[in-house]
Amino acid sequence: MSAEPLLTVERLRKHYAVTKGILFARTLGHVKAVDDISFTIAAGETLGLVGESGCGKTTTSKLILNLEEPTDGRILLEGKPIHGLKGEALREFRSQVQAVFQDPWSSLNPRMTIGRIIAESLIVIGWGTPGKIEERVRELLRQVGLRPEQATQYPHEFSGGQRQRIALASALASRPKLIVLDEPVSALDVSIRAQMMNLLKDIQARDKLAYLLVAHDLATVRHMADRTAVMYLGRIVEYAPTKTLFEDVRHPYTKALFSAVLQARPNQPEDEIVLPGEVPSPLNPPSGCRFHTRCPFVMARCAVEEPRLREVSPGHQVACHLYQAA
Amino acid sequence: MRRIPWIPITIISVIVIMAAFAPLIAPYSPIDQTLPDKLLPPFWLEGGRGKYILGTDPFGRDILSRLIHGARVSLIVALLALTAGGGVGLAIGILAGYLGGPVDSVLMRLVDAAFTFPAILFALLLAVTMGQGMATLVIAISLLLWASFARIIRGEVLALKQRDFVALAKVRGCSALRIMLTHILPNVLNTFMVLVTLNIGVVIIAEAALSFLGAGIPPPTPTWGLMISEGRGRIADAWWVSLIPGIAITLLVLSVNLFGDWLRDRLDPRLRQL
Repeated sequence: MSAEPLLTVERLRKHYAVTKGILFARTLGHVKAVDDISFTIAAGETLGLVGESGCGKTTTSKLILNLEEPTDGRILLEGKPIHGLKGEALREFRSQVQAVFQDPWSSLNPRMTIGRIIAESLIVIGWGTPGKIEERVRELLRQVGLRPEQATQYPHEFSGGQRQRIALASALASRPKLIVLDEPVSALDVSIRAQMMNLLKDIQARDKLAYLLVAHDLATVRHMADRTAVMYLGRIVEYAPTKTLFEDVRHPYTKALFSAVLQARPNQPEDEIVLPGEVPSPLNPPSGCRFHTRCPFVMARCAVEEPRLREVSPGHQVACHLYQAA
Repeated sequence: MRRIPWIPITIISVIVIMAAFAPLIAPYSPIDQTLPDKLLPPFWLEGGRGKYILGTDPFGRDILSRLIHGARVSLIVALLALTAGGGVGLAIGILAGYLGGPVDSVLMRLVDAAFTFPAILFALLLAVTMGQGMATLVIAISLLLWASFARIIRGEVLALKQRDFVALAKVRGCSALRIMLTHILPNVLNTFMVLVTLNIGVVIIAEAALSFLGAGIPPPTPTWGLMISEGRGRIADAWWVSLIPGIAITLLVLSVNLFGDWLRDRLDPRLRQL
C-alpha cells in the first residue's frame, strides 16, 4: 500500500430520520444505515464489502459516489473531502469515481444508443471533439469485448451480460481511478459471471484501477478482492486481507456467513452455523455488540459494551470481545 | 411490427387537407344564409337535393361547407391548446417528479387547485374580460388540460427516477437539467403522445361546449362543436344537423387515437425492429 490511500473513509455515518405525521411531523427515530465505519482503498486495489441485505453496503457505496450526504464523518479522495464539492471540483470528482450497478436492465437508458451512453461522461466534461469521443467509444467497446460498430444499437438489442459490459465501458470512459461495483455480477447467469469478473480484473491490472466491490456473494469477493470488510447492521465487524479472512475467520457473524455457503464437496460433514432469529431493526439496534442477540458465543459483556475493531494478526481486524483481553 | 394504420391516416389526412384548403374545397360559403333552403336533408334522403350533399342547417347554410371550414377552426384550437396546455403540463410534471421536495409540493398543490377550479366558469370569465375568440378559447382549454398532463407525467417520472440509469447519469456528472432533458424527457414522450391523442377528443368537446356557451368562437364562424349545438333543438326532425358534425368528431378522434397508438409502438425502440 502506498503512503496515501486513494480513498479514505473516516467514521462515516448515515442516519435516516423516520417520521410520522404530515403537518407536525414527529421523528420516531433514526435508521442507522451506516454507523461509524472507516476503511481505506489504495490505488489499484479491490476492497470487498460483504454482508446480508440491509447491512448498509449500498448506502456506503452511495455515500462514496456522492449521491448521498453523510450524517457524520467524511470521505477523502486523495486527501480531499468529496462532499460539498461544487462546479469544477465536483466535475473533476465525477470523472474520477465511477460506478457499475447490479441490474443491467435498469442501468442503460432505453432511448439512447449505446455509443451515446458510453460517451455520456465525456460529453458532460467536454472531453474532446465529437470525432475524438467517437474514437474513444470505439476503443472502449473493443476493450469490453464488443464490436465498435455496435455503437449505433439500442440497449434492448443486447443480453444481460453484454449490457453489463456496456455499463462497464461507460464507467471507464472518463478514465476513473475508482469504480464502485455494486453487485456487478449477481444479476448475471452463473456461466457468464466468471467472464465478467475476469474482464474486470484484466482492466484493473492494465489501468491501475481501484474497485470497491459490494457483494453478498462470497465467491465473487474471494475471486476479486484484495481485502474484505464484513458488515453487520451498519458496522464493520471484520476487516482483513481476503486470503487471511478466508483461511482464518474470526468473528462469529463472519463464521456463520461463510458456513452458509454451499460446499463444493457435499459429502463432507456439514457444520453450518444457523443463526437464530432475524436481523434486528437498524431503527433500534441492540445495545453493546449489535450481533449479541444472535451470537452463539454471547457473553455477559457483549450486551453492555461495544467491541472495537482490534488487530488480531497483521492487517486482520475483528470487532469481537472473544478476541480482546478484558 | 404492427401494420401502418392506413385507414386512420387517410381520414386524418382528408380532414387536415380539408382544413388547410377549406375555401378552395367548400362548394358554398359557410356563413351565407339561404333561408328558403333551410333544413334540407342529405341528398340520399327523401326531399334531399344533390345541390346540398349533406343537407342544410336551420339557416339554409350548406352543412358540408360548414364542416370543411369548421375542421380548420377545430384543428387549430386543438393544436394550439394541446401544445400550450400539454407542454406546460409536461414541463411541470417533469420538474415536480424529478426535483421532488418543496418544488414537488408546491407544483402539485397548484395541480390540485386547478382540478377544483370550474373550468367553464373560468372560461366565461375570460370571455368577459378578454372578449370572445380563439385566444380566449385556447387559453381556457389549456388551463383545463395542463393539470391532468402534469399529474400523469409526474407519476411516470417518479417511477423513472428509480431506474439505475438516472443515478448513473448523476455519477457520470450530468446536471439536473441535463438529466431531465436527455434521460427523463425522452422516456416520457410516449406517455405524452398517448395523452395528446387521448385529449384531442376532450379538446374538441371542450371547444364545442365553450362555443355553445358563448365563451368560444362566436357564431356564425363554423366549428364542429357549435354545429352540434345549433342542431340540438331539431334533433327529432332534422337530426342530420347535429349528427353529421358528431360523426366527423367521432371519426377524427377515433382515427387520431388509433394513429397515436401505432405511433407509441413505433417510437418505442424495443419494438422497433420486431
